[in-house]
Amino acid sequence: MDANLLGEKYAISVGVDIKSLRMWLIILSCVLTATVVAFTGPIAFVGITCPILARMICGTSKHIYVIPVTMLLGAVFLVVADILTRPGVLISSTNVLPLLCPLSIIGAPIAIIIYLKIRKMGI
Amino acid sequence: MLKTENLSVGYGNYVVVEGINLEINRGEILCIIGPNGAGKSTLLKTIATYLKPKKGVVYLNGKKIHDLKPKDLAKEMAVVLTERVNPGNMTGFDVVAIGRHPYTDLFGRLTERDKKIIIESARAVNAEYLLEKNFFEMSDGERQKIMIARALAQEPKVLILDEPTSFLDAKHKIELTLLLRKLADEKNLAIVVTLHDIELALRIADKMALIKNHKVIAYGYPENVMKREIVNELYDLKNANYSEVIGYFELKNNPIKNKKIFVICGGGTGANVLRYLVKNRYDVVVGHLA
Repeated sequence: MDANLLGEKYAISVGVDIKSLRMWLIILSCVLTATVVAFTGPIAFVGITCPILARMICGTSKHIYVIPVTMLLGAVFLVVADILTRPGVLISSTNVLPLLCPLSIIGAPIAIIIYLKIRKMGI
Repeated sequence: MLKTENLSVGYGNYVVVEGINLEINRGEILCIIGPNGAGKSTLLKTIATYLKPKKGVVYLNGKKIHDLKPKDLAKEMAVVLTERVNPGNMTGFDVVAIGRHPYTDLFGRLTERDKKIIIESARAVNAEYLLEKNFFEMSDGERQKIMIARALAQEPKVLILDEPTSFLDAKHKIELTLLLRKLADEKNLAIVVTLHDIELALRIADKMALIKNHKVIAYGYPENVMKREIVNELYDLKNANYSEVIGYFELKNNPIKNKKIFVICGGGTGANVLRYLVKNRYDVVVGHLA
């Protein structure tokens, strides 16, 4: 995956079987997404915010560091969002808020800020 | 070492260059030159196995290159392309370390030997000071050095470079060209390179291939290939002439009739004066006194 950061052609030239890598990444993403969505319902902004945030925290794009930190951040982000949906935390009603509400409120601005910052840095 | 046999290259149904028969051994540099769009990059992409040949075969050590496994090929051949890369937030060391991919495990863990090779590769291209620097903070010349160090970290026997001097200034162009010669001599690499700068190409190449009109119009030792008629034809030159003496082009300029001048010179002594006079549109006649 690190080799793929240089582009497909360079990945091939260092011996990456790009077709097989792409196929396995798609299968893995599908399985993980399907499992998570089956348990929790629709969630958003975790996949876009956490990896970028992880890259900034790690100070590198190397996947060996970025992937574990992304997993940790994703879990923390989702737990915080879940706490916010509980009755009495954000609104004093007995109904549980949809998970998408806090995710979008927190996630969207973070995603936009990070995107602009990354573009400015040229990475 | 590397050999193409009756090779035809192209995209889809379109054949760009056909009938290519080239051969290169270890320690040699093969320069491919030709006008834009002649098919130099297509040829390199086919040798690098990004494209399948339309016809013919490319052999590496007697084996068909397109039948080799990607990892096995990566240990034999490394590629440096023209296109700019943006790997994100990575240091020079991280980028060079990508070259160790064919030798590392699934998680890309580097052994002490790998680290030593990475540092040696950077040292070979005078880029040791760039190892700690972020890739996105580097200049074009520095990036190119790191990309070549990455290729060397693969410990290849063949190095393919597609217009490596494209974005570089004169100093870095010369430095890089000399570096290629050094790598061919010291590391005994076979290097295939496309260059726009024929002046530099002439000075480092062991063999040259000139590509135009879908075919290789000349191939062999630069001293035999780079003749005035051939190079003029290669670039369709009307307002310039290729000079075998200086290994570059001299421009023609239409003289103004009332500015006639006779220059007495010989043995290269009048070169600067003649260039000045032609540039200023004098009608120049050259001779020497008996």
